[in-house]
This record gives sequence, structure tokens and C-alpha cells, in this order.
Amino acid sequence: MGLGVLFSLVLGGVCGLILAMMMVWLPSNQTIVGIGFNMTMVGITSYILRLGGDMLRSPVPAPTVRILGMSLFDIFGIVSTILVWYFLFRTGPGLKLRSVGENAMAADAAGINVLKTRTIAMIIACMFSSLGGMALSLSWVHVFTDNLTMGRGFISMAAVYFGKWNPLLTTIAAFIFGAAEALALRSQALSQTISSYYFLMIPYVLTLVVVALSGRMKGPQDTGKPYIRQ
Amino acid sequence: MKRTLSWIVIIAMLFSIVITGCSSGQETSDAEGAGGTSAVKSSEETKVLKIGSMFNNPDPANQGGWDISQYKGMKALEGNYGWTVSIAENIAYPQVEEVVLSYIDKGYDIVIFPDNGMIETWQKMYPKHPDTYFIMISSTATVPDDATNTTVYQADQYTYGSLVGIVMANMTESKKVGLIGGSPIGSVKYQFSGIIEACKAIDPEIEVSIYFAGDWSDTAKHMELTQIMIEDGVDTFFAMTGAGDKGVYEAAAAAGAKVIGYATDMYEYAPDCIATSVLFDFESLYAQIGQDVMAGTIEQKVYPLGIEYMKLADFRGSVDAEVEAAIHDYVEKFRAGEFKVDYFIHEDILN
Repeated sequence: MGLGVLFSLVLGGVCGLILAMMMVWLPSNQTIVGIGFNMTMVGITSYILRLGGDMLRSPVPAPTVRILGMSLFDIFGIVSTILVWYFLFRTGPGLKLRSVGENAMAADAAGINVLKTRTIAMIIACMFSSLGGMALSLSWVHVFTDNLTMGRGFISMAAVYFGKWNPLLTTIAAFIFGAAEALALRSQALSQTISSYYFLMIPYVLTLVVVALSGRMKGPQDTGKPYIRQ
Repeated sequence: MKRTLSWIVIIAMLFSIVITGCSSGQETSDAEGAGGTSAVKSSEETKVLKIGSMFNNPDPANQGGWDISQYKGMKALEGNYGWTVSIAENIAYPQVEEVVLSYIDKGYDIVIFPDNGMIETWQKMYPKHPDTYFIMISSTATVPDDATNTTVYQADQYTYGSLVGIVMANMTESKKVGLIGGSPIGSVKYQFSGIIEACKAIDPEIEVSIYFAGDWSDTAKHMELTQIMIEDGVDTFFAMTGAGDKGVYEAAAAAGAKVIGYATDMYEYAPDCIATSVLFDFESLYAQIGQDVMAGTIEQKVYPLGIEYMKLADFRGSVDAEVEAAIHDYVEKFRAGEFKVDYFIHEDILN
């Protein structure tokens, strides 16, 4: 498993570098590039699964180390949330990172290399994403199948919005959405007369409601905007 | 630097388009070689037929019992007759029409709909395209008297479900069995009703829990549904689903629960939990289809696929010899009509 985690981190970093090349250095529209890259990765992973045959389709042993019922991935997720929050809001480099998203021109004027900082941030973000995928396939279902994530990453975007780009609030939002999905599955037992589809809609309806009730969230000013040095 | 990156991206995109175009070109040249958009003809007129099909699930060769069995049957037509069999995968139901039109445009002779969820598209397509032959594998489809270019093979899902129910009712020790459906399509209602009534006929105290994942492929959801039922005491499962069945197997194996495989002998895919599988002999069906097409005797009607196409896979010692003997005894009596399962459709299953 350790080798798998290491490989995943390396691959995540490579993906982050590719994305940074397209989004930060070209630069191009982040939303379109992000969606296209997401679809590409779904296709590539499915193709690799076909090439790998039975070896890749076989389940892996469940992690044996559990603390308070949580796997090491779960614990890492919670600890990293706190560490990232501390880094962003209590350290100098974290301030620089926030500044390139808040006001890239001012950050550039202050001597911060905006493109380099965004590139590093993208690489680290993708490494975290790959760990999330690993948690799903290794810690939760113990097997890889086509499109395993089934769009759960897009719900995380809503969590970021709801959490006002704060790691701690975003994690709380993610817990709420996860609880909604668990409720959707369990609530089918409540009634045989209500269609299961109504219950399965719960997490997605909740996402819409939360986003609607959150009002016009003001995130970092330059989020999603490419920076072109004048 | 930016210009270089831009050129790299453009070249990569063009390369992928060319690669995709090359494979499409190859199919087009095959179409030109095989000739024409005619409906199914006898072997004297058309030696090499082109068969097109599509599956809702990704990787139908290896995921989802119903799909695996059908995939093998379709692919056997290539080996047996030298036909061209093209299979699209991971096709959402709303996109099936587009895929079918693509096959028609490329001159495919026969299009096979392997899934009851595609029934609406089939109903729409075959009247509009008389030069192409359409085959529907469904438990609910019917063929109008004036149809000239379609055949339905109607799987008796209620009987199939009854066999599953016989196995589950004899195997469960907790008297709680769990059914997991992918999407709530029509055939699920018949199959699950058969299971419920068979369980009741053997032991009225057996509780049957039914959950739907909402799609055929979400492995994590299937796993969680199985875990929910395990927490409620369910010890025997059956999943009428697709690629998501791996989640069911994972959860069942971890809890020591048993699973009945769907349509294909799923033991090789999940040896830790598959007790047996209720097989649907699609390989024989497709072999028969091939023979009928070659002989020009395929008819525009509904061919029922009854119990003669169903049997149990080897138990491989997964249950006690007494339990296995009891199951086989019930099954043989069911085949002979000596053990009866009431016919009652639980309409609320799809709610």
C-alpha cells in the first residue's frame, strides 16, 4: 500500500504540473480545462484498467490499521485539514499563497512570483486529490472500477463554496454532504411507497439548497482568473 | 514558452482526433466491403453480417453478470460465423439512440438491445429503419403483428427470480435476505417479485429487504447498501445490477455473507462470497440466433426464454451438503411443476 500511495502522489503531482501548464502558463480557461482534464482522466484510467486485466480488477486487502474506527486515510484527511488551515492563515508562505489568489497583480508588485506560486499550489492540490482517490479505492471499496468516484469531486466544489474557501468550514460542509448521501441510502428503508429516486436525490438537492441559501459567496477575488504579467 | 505549450496542446488534440478517426475509417471500409444496409438476409445473400450492440455498463466483458453473459454470447458469433460484432460500452440510456443511429449509418445489419432499460429506444427505432434488423432482449417487450424487422427474446424474469428465491430461502440462516437493484427498471419488478414469492412459499417468515443504488455502476453506493443490510442482519444477498456488483461482493465477503451471482457464474470474480449463481444461458441463445439468421428462419415475434435457459452453477462446497441437496430438490420440483410459486407482482418495488 505504501508503494501505491507514493505512486499516487507522484502521478497526482504530474497531473498538477500538466494542469498548471495549461491553466497558469498558457493560460486558458480553468473551468473548461478542468472539466476536459477530468473527462480525460476517466477515460485513461478505464483504459489502463482494461490493459491491466484481472490483476487490476482484483480487490485489495482492506487496511488493517484502524484508530477509533477510522483508517489512516481518514485520520490524514482530518489532520491535513488542520495543517492546511494553519499554513494558509497563520504562516507567511500561506499568506503569499492566498495573496496570489486574492490579488495577483498586487502580489506580483510585492515581489511574489505569481505563476510559480500557483504552479506549486496546483501540484500540491492534485496530490491531495489523488490521495482522495486512493482513500476511495483502497480504504473504502478496496477495488478499482470504471469511474469509481461517480462525480463526487464536483460535490467537493460545492463544499468549497459553502465553506467560503476556508479548509475547516469546507471539511464541515463535506461531512454534511457525506451525511446526506448516507441518509439517502438508509432512508429507503423508511417507506416502500416513496420512490427510491426521491431519497437518492437528497445529497444533490441539499447541494443546491446550500448553495442557494449561502447567498453570493465572495471567494478570493482572482480565483479562476488567469494572470498575465504586464 | 507559451507558444510552444500552445503548439504541444494543439498537436496532442489533433493526434487524438486522428487516432479516433482512423478507427472509424476502418469500420467504414468494413461496411463498404460487407455491402449495404439491408435487413437480415439468408446466408446465400450475405456471408458476413455486421452486428452492433451497446451496454449501459462500462467493461461488460468483466463486470455485471447479465452483461458478461450477453457479451460472451455476442462475441461467440464472431468466432462461429466470422461476423463483425461491434460493442459500445458505458452508454447512458439517453445516448443509446445516437449509438444505434451510428450503427445504421455505417450499414450494420443487426442491432441488439441487451437491456430492458433500452426498450423505449428500441420501440422508437425499429419502425423507422426497416432496412436494419433489431433484436431486443427484454422481459417486457412485445412485437406488433405488422413488424417486419424485429424479434424479441423475452427473458422470464419472474421464473428466474423464483429460482433465486428458492436458493436464498434455503441458504439464509438469519431468515433475512437482501436484494439490491441498480436502476428500478421494469424487469427488476418481475424478478424481485419472483424472489419474494419464492421465499414466502418456502418460509413465510423470511424478510426480504430491497434497496436501489440509483445506477448500475456506483461501487461505493452498492457497498454501503450491502453494509446497511448486513447491520440489519441480512446474511444472503442477490444483486441485479451492473459494474456496481463489486461493492456488494466486497461488503458481503468482509462480513461472511453469501451472494447469489446474477446470470453468469460469478465465482471467479468473487470467490470469497459467491455461493452459487443462477445462470442465464445467453451463449446458447446467441448460438440459436446465429443459426436462425444463417438459415433465414428468424421470425418477427416474441421468443420466450423460460426455465430451460436457467440453471444453477456449482456450489463448490459453499453450503452444507444438506442445504445444497434441498435446493436442488426444490429446483427440480419447480421445473416439474410440483413446487409452485404464486404469481404476484409487487408493484411497489419500483416505488
